[in-house]
Amino acid sequence: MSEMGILLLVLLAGAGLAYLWYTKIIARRNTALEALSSIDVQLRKRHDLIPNLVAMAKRFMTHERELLDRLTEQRAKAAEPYSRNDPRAIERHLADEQALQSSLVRVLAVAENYPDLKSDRTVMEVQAGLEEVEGHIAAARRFYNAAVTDLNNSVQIFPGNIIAGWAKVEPMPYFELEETAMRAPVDVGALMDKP
Amino acid sequence: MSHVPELAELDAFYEAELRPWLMEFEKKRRLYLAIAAGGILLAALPIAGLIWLGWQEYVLFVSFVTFVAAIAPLVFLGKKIEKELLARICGKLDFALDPKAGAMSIQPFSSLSLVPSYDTCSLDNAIRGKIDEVPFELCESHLQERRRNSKGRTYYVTVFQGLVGSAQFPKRFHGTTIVRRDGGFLASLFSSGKGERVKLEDPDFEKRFDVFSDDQVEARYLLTPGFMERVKRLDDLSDGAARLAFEGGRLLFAIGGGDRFTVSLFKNMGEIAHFRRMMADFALIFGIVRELNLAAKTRL
Repeated sequence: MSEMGILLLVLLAGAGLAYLWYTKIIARRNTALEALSSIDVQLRKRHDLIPNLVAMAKRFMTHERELLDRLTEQRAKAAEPYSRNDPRAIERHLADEQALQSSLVRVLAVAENYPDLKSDRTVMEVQAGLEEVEGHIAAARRFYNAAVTDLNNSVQIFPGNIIAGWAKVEPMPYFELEETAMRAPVDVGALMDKP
Repeated sequence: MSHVPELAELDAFYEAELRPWLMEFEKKRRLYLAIAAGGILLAALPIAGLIWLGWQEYVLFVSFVTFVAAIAPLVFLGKKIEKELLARICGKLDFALDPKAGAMSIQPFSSLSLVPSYDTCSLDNAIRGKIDEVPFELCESHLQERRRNSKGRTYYVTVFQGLVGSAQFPKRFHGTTIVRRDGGFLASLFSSGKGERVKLEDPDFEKRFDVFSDDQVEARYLLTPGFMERVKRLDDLSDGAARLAFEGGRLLFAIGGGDRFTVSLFKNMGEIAHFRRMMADFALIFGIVRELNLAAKTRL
């Protein structure tokens, strides 16, 4: 085989490998976006439960209006649309959700001091719903973070970083819980049942 | 059985009722054991004649009939004792026992690949009840596969023997998730049509099991880090023979490890070993519910 033939073969093999890597990156980005959708589905369920909780809490927690207003504001902010193709927008969206969860935990912690609120039937139903949703959010977060790890590995390791740059695929942010106290899912039942 | 209080409490029941009842069979056991030993010696005579004295081959039939007739009483006695002992223990624990397992089917376990493919299946000793208010049902299963040797003769090989059953699961779910023994790289590529492989964060769990599901998020909702730890503990308890699946709101399980609820007639009936062995099998049933924390109220 001539030198030209060998060179052509090497170039073809290189192009083939680059194409395979490219398909892997795109498949992993799609999986990460699918996982992000799973998170959003669960977060929407959480958003839907919060107005009921706030409405009931306002009846009993008359001195905590500021806390409840902040929860409502943060819910509205977290529910704003965002660009799923922009990692920075995703990061902001996930940070808004973290802030919303912090406020929710705070409200539920304060609710311990209101026995009438704890024993209200609607609140108990919301509490059960939130508990289930928090379990699903924790699961969706694990799926998303696993998908993001796969994606980020393939776009940050050579030659993936070059191919990703050419294909305009960027690493995606993790959905992490910053506060140590929030690393476990919110156990709404335990919070509401504390003596 | 100290880790299962309900079973520890049965020690007094054994001393007061089961041991005296088992001792009633001791004379019969010795007699049948002697008959079996004598019969086996007699059955060996025609074989010796065939080999050394040039007897005709039909004596092998005589040998076979003698052997069967000699051990039959012992086998029937063993089955009778097993059945009655199991019924008495189930009665004490408030479990329902159906020796023929008429209402149980191997089909759900087979379709989820919790048991290997088979040609013949026998189910018996179905037990139903509640542990910590969690309803469960299970039975013994023995699956065999038909094979042919080089001469074209058919023979059967046991491919699975153990417990199959299901229990109510505390969380609501809609899809199907299967936890199978890790079958290596090739097995992990095939899901038997039950969804995609789910990669979980626990390296030890990943080493032991392959998880497949039609819903990646739901699989993680069911298999939380805490639940994975519990599955590993159950796996240790069952000597690495546990396989699980989540379908239709229930947890299905198949635990191999051979014949369960058996009594050995080669030991004196007064020995506590008969009772202990059966208690170990019941401890496994309690272990499924308690190690997996199926009575938990949380949906997290």
